[in-house]
Amino acid sequence: MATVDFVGVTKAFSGHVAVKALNLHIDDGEFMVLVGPSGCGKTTTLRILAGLEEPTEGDILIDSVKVNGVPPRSRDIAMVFQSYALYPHMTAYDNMAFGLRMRKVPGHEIAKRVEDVASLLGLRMLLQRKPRQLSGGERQRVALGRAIVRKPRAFLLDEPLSNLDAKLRVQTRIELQRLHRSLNATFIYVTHDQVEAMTMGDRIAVMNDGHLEQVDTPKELYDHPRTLFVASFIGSPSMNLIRAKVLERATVLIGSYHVRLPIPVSQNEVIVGIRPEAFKIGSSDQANLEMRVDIVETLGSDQYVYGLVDGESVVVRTDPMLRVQQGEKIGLIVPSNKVHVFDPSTGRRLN
Amino acid sequence: MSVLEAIAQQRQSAKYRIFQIIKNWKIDISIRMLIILLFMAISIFPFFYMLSLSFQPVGDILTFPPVLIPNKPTAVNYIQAWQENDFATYFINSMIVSFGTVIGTLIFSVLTAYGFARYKFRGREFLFYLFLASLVVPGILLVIPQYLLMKDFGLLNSRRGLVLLYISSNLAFSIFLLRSFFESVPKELEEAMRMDGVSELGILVRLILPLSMSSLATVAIFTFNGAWDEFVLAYTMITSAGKRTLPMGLALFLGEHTLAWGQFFAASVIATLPIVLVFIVSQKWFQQGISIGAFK
Repeated sequence: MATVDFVGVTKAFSGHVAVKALNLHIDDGEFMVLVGPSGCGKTTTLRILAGLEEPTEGDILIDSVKVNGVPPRSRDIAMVFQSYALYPHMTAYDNMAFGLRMRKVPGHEIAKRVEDVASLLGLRMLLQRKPRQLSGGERQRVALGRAIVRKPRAFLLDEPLSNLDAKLRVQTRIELQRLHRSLNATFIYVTHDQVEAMTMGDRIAVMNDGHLEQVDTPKELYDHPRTLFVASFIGSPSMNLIRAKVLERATVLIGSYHVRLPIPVSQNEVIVGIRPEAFKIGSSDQANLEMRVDIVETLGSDQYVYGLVDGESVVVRTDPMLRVQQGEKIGLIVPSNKVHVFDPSTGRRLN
Repeated sequence: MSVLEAIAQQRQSAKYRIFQIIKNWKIDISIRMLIILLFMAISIFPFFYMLSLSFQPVGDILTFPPVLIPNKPTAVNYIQAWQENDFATYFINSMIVSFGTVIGTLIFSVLTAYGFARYKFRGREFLFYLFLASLVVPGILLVIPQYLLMKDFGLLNSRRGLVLLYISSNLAFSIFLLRSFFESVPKELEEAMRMDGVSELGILVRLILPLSMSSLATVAIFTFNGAWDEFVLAYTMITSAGKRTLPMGLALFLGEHTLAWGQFFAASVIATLPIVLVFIVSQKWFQQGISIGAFK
């Protein structure tokens, strides 16, 4: 179990800076998720921690000990690769035992550990099979088992669910969380899927273009996104972001409608963020905005209505019982305490 | 006119009708089979004929019309071939040289190909293409320079010298073959090994080699064949009778002892046996290699 620190870590490849001055602290036993779009630097960050890449600048500390330049095998961390990276010419048992054999762990100890982990992951019947004889989910569990058996200080997981089908993904997500609890280990998890991030992480580090945008608990990220990027990235469907002109102090103009802001601002223009579920449907005299319905998506438990408010695209979450039709006009109430305000030039949150 | 009308009109034409008939007769497929069988027969026939002649007594061999299936098959040719002219010695010499070549080629080409595949260094591609370019030069052209080189090393008339020459002539192709295979091994596998605590050499031995079995088998077969059959260099370098390789020994049947056809054929058949054996063994390697690499 270990704490991890990134101090001013920068990584540049020829012509491209993948990670820019990253400062991040991960607590012992924490489930930290690095999330962001492709190319944001999250995998590179993970690989730097693993020791597969060296930072151009900055320090990596594991348990407050600097590990720059220390080879991967001496860092006592285990990694689960996106493609599992199982050794094709070895059985599942050998795959899991391999790391231990390399570390000269005695044979009976290896057998015990592998058997225990295999039971934990439901692999006991599959130990003599080779990777090509295993299904995707089984391979993934062997890859996990290979990491667990090493009893490392920290687990690094690089998009482990991305190669699984949707149903298996949901199942495995839950199993991983259970695993984290039972192992009580530090997990560092990379994904581009914000749903995975929100459901699994104790804290989430949102990255974009090499920068760390915000690191916070899922709830904080959702309720108080500090930048435009985080606001639009977290939450599905995305938060509605509308550019609006500021009228006297705490009011903005969205299309032809007036909306109150939660705080006064000094800018001339702001970007107003409202989550789809923040709107309430109301009659035209109560409503702040009027939306012309375009598309309705019924998901059974939810309903999403896409439409236009004076030319601005807006999506609203409604009760699935509400019947709306294309072309219809519905009134939307905007509770001002649910409004997020951003500066259009810096992208930073103002409230 | 519309598309449908055009198609309908085409269907009326005589050419189309004939084409349809031929297609239905399946002439196409049978012609192809016939051609294949023809080529097969042409390829196998010389060997088959030689096999058959090797079991015939000397008198019958030169009869006309030629007899394909021997009337009185006899093993006398084989016994004589083996006993005369130190044939056994030549056989053993060829074995030593060929296996030495295979082992040497495998070791050097694996290490070199791995270097090319996994390490970036200045001039890497240039060096690699230089190796490839050497394949363009016909072997015969190099006989004299190689002779002089062996003379300087004091390795004339030695099996060691022959092995060195054979290894060097096989390296370029083997390196080329192995490099592309090594590069196809996913990097994540190597990284997983690194995280498990394996050294770079360990990665080569424990990961790359087991996965490359089919390519290694290919290199082994080609190298063995090349070394076993090689005549020109052997004839040039080896001067003492005790060190002669098999191809030289076979040539003797037709040189010194006037045209001992029966023994010649028998000796030739014996000479092909190790190749067949190596091929069979390598096939197993090869197939193992393919099934191992099946999951990537």
